[in-house]
Amino acid sequence: MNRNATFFTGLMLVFLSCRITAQESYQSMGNVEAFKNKLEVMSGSTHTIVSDFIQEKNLSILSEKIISKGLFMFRQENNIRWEYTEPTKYLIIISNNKLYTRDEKNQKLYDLQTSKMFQEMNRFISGCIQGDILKNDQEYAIEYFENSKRYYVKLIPRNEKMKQMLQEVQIYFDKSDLTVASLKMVESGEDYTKIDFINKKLNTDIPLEKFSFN
Amino acid sequence: MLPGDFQRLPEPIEPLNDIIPWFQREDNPILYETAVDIYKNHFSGLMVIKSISEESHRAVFITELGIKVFDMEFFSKGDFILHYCLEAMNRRSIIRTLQNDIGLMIHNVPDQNIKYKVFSDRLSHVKIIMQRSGPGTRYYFMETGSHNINKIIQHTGLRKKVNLQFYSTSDNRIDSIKISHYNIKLDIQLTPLHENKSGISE
Repeated sequence: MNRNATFFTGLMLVFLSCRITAQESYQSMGNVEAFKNKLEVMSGSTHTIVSDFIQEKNLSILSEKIISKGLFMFRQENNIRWEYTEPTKYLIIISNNKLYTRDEKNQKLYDLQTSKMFQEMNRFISGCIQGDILKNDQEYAIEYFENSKRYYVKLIPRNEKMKQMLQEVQIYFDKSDLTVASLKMVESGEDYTKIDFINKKLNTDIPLEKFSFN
Repeated sequence: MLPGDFQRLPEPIEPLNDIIPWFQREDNPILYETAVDIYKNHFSGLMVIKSISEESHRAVFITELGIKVFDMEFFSKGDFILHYCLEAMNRRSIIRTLQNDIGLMIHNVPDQNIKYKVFSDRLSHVKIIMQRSGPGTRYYFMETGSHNINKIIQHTGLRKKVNLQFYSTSDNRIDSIKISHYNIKLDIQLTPLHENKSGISE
């Protein structure tokens, strides 16, 4: 092997080892009960969350990913505002058992109590954000993992019909504050939706008007 | 049947292979902001329309939240595969309507292997290519001097069924597409998301 080749091989090894460090692998969680307790404490003491989000949609037919961006807000109890700003403007508010959607041309208000599908959607979203979904081991087979920076929980629906739509849900929690860092919903095939939450701020003052749709 | 004052032209007045289908152009966008209005319900989301090979196109509709609603594949010879559909929507009548509408939108040119007649409006010189298709007839409209189909009307029996309009201010780019029905309250509107706000990333 000539000197250049040796140099490049060395350089490759340095880059590869950086990559391995960046994507530190996950191992089975040591103490699941301790994690659940910490999550419950965090959930109880978190009154509001504001966070930017980047949503990545991967479709097996596309080599590119579809990227959406926006702002997420949560206020106890069960007030959620999901505001997409790119590539199109779209707003979803869940509050007081109502679901409100608005795009550039239309707005719509649904009563959660009249639609089982929206009830499920609300339960799923707030369950993921607040960690309540982990209590639901009747509907999901739950596996727990961790590395030095994150806890990672994998949920596999037990119901076959649900499984056709959603093969598994992966929730990643930051170890520093137990907030959701990333949520990945894996559909059939290689299709998935991944939402990364960035610039999170906890317990800032969010006026209730942000969750009103009048 | 035809609106306006049309005269039959000797055929072929223009060979059909001069017409370029909208979805077979190189710089065609693949992501479309999509709104579906059915009776009193309004749905919105993003539609991916992608050429998979020379023979087939894939159309995938996802909501803003990323939930996949349907995934369909359309072949130029008319074959169709439903790869996926949300259970709540997976009804035969819905799938057949979407198959017809999206298929008509993707393969927006007359079939060269089927007999057709060409008419021209005496005043505006808009050309209409009339072609039988299954149990109905399709009318493809072309502006004078254009190689683009800008409107398709589909009849079933004697009744108008579907109106598909391609809006474009340039020769190569679609500004929007509107599909409307005469017998049911169903409108589908697609607006391409061009590079500057496409939301597509490597």
